Amino acid sequence: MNRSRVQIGLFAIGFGFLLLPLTLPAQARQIITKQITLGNSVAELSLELTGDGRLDVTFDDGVVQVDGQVAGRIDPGDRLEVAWRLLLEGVVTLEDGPLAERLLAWSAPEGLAAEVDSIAQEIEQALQGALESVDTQARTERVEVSVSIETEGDVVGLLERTPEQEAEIRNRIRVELREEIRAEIQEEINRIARRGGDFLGVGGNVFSGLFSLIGKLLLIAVLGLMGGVLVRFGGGHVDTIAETALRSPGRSALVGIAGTLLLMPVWLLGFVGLLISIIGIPLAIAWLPLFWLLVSMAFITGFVSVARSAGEWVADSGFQWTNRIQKSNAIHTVFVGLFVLLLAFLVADVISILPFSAPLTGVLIFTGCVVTVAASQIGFGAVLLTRAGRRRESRYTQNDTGVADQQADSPEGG
Amino acid sequence: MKMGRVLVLLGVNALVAILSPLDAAIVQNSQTVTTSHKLEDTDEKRVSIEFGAGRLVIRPTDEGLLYRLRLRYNEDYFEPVTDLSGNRLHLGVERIRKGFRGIFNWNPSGEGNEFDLELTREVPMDLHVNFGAGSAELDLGGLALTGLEFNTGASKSRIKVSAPNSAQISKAQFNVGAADFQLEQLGSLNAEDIEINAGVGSLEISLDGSWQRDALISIHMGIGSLELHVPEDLGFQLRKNSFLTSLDGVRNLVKEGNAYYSLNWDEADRNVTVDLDGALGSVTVQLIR
Repeated sequence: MNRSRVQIGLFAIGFGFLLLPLTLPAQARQIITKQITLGNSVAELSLELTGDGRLDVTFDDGVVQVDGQVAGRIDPGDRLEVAWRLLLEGVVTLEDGPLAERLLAWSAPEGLAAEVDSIAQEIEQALQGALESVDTQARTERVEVSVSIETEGDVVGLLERTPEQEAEIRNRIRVELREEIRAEIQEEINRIARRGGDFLGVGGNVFSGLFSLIGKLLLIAVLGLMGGVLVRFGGGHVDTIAETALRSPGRSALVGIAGTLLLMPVWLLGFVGLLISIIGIPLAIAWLPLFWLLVSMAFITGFVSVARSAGEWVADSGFQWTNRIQKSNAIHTVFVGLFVLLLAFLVADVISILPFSAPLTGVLIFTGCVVTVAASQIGFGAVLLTRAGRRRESRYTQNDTGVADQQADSPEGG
Repeated sequence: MKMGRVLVLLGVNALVAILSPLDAAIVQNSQTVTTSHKLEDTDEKRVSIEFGAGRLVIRPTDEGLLYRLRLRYNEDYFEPVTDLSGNRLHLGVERIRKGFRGIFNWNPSGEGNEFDLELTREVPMDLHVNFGAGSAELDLGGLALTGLEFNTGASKSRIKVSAPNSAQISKAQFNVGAADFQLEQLGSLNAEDIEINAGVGSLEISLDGSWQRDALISIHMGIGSLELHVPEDLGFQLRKNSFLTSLDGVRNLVKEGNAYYSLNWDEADRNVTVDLDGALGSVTVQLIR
């Protein structure tokens, strides 16, 4: 585009701006934003109109405000307030022209007390003043805005900068406010953490964390040794349980949970059942501790089996450091698996030594609990499903065409 | 997987669940705000929605409005936020008072906090929804979405895309803590890359709808069940990299290594790959007509 056309264009825009104040009052206004608030004590209408027009009418606990100025006070629940609330409830779904029409048509109830009546008149005048130039025939419809200004240089940039700057300022205020609030919250957290730290003492944190860590390591050692014994003397059974836990974890978990829920009823019913048979009385006495001993063994066996699967999974994960894990050595994989399953607890113990670590420690302990409970239930379920490893429960095969299929254990495979 | 984030959400929501009866027991000071904004232009907007707990509804509107929001909340604890600055629209509630009361704001008749939002189909938008706990029902059908992020803690959420997205999303993300989460007509979302991070709960994902391009769906699942409904005419591939996860319904799929393919993978007009990374649970694949 040549320079003379640009100049003509700019001149036309400038001339248009000069004429704008003369033309605006004659144009129909539009309602841009409508907000209606209805609460126990509040009934508020807030409108934003084109040309920077605004209307705010608020009934708040007996105080009536029109455009931010107190118009008067009424008794909460007064007839005027009731009529105003009814109006607002009726226009909630209306927009633009129909909204303006309905608001303009509103009139306060007759026979109000003089003071209340003057408030009502002020509201009616405010509505008239704000809405009389709104085209009541206008319906909100699809708006297609298509603006194309052909020009050079920064002219468009200059025209568009004002609203952008305004938006930027609003954003900046928002960001600053947020940062201020965050800083205050952080300070509050630090203050609470300091108080907590003083109460326990840093030394106390170190010792309790270390003792707890040593305890967990001992637990891993004990469970690992038990796992070693189990693998040594019942390798095939442990293999079957581990395989079932790996192949059907969901099913195992469900069976484990169901089994856990049934422990107490089975224990009691077993005891009563043995009692009512004369020959069973001596057995009933033995039943009381023996049952829980067997349950404990089932849980430990299941947990160790899941740990073994976890250890094998780590060995297969392909990380550099996992090369040292001997997958063929079952005891090795059991130990690795136990470390993996209890890792969250171990890390929590180490981190708890550090100051201000309570939230993170809490999250880690929660994670550890979730993992431990899940592994226990899966393991226990797998023990039950396989009758302590005596019955192979899960087997996946692949047929000649490469179509994946499930047998025996799968719900589909029956 | 962003398991840390998910666990924090879980912790918060467990607390919310424990304390919610307290919330119901007290007298609530409910307030309803209805606000709408006329559609003034069709410039792309970044829309962020924040709602703590209650019932969340989002749906499209053709009434010439940018948005219409009906919000019910406890005025003693929250205040509404409706802020349109430039091309950023922020809608939601902000907490103004400490304490757990008012989180759900249930009244004796069982009504609680509610966030009912209608959004225009005319404006392209990058939509971000942060929703804590409760139930969510989103119909994104026909919205012009250029981006989508949906974060929820403990909720029953159903998102459907009842009509095709008229814009294109390069990446859509769903982060779910402990939830019963349903995604329907995902094909109509017109997203190239979809990421779903789920902590605990059940996921039901329907890959129906109109796929306009090939897509990759990455699912990171902690503990729970996943149901995938796959249209028969869609090329489908499931790549499973999971620890303790059972897999059902793969009879009609061809297995190659860790991947399962639909028989029409090479011929289908559109191919969708699901990358599954799960710790514990069950996966069911169901073919639908």
